[in-house]
Amino acid sequence: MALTAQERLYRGLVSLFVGGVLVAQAATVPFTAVRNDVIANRLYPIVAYDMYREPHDEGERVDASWTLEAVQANGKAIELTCDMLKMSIWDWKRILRFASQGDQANGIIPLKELVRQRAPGAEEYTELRVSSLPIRVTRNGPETIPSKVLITIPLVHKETGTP
Amino acid sequence: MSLAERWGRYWFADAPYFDLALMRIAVAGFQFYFLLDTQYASLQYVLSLPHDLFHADARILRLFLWPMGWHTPPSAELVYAVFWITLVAGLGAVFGALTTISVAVFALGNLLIQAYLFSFTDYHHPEAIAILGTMALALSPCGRVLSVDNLVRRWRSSGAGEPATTVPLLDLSGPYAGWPILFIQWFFPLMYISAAVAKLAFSDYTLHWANGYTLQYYMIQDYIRKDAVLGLVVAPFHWPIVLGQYVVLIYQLTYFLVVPFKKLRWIYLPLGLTFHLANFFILRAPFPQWIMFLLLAYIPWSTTFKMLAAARVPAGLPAARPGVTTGARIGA
Repeated sequence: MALTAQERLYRGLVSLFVGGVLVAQAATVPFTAVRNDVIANRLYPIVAYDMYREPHDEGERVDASWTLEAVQANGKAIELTCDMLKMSIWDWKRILRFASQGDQANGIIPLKELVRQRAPGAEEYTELRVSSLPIRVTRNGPETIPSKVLITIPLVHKETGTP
Repeated sequence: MSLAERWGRYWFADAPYFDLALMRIAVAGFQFYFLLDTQYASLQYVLSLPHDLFHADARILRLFLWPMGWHTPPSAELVYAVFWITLVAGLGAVFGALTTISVAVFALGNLLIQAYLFSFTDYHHPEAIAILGTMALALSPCGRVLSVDNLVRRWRSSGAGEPATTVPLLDLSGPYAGWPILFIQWFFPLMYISAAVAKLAFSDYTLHWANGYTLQYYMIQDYIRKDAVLGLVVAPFHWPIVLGQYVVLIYQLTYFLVVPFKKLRWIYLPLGLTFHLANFFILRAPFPQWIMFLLLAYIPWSTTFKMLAAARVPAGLPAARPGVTTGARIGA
């Protein structure tokens, strides 16, 4: 049966949608294959499905999260949690990961800002310490190991300009 | 037969409207619940974050924000306006009222809300298929049956005195009712191949990823991050975990076979559902959208219901007296 002009137009639009989305999704695979994260969420909702992609080995430290401590002038250290800073676990992990790598823009600056705005008694802190979790993976499950301080971030208060 | 004809025959073959309407109700219903249950709280959360964290990477969000400038986050009023418009459109999509417009607005709203949320945080994977599925529904006649639109059409026809020709609901089919389901059927293999290639690429194209420790690591990680206690219970079982990782890789790499070879669904569908439910319970990695679409896209629901309705069962033992069944005697 011959198609009407309206049907031909509809089929064309649908074909464009179906073909476009499937080809775009397939086109992410070569980028993933060479470990190129350039797509990330730029073309959202077309994304690379690269969750849980990193291999891990026996004895590796579990970088599930990091410990954040705020140090007062008298040397007393207080642990800050993502709940205390009213952050989701995802942002907490992301910002602390960047901060532990010394990344100013994505880690240290937003972390200092969040602590300044949200941590109880923030004006008393002189520095922040980011430490690794004291856990590693073994054949028999998790095992505790000593924690390591990854970075120390000095805090300068806006009002006084001094620690 | 030309390539265009083959394409047309494949994507526009007659299919039941019931399956498409079921997809609309399930997907829109889920997305509506997701908006209220999760997205509203997420919006409140990101609106409380420092503006420095805003990065509109998604090009669709940049396009939407372009008149106002996409370097700064949109105002809370605009964000909430988009949310409430999307929610109202979602109701229309679920019930099939002004279906095409409702589903289109609902799809666009969900896309913008999700892209906005990801502009403050890392992006995640479960939601994209629901957004693409809703977009496909918006282009389809998904309000043809099981909808307010359909009721209105029937009411108008009867009011105009037009003779009503009826067919059983499960038998009503058309050439544009099947392509959104086929689209999802093809989209799943692409997601799975992407996932498998990522695992292989980050292992330098060896099977290093499936060494057991990788999944043990993620179980411990997600116990710490998300309190996934079951992961901690399972984490010591090294060899079963190694086996599980190989199954995951084989499943993801070969899943595309279910599209041409429909009988393989009897293996892959239960395996996939088990895989996603295990992710949910062991890693607290919820992919409810994927579970929903696996069920909606690969099970021919109208055929299943027709088979169930036509199924014959043993009538039971002969009654002792005419007109009195065994069950009735036992119950008496």
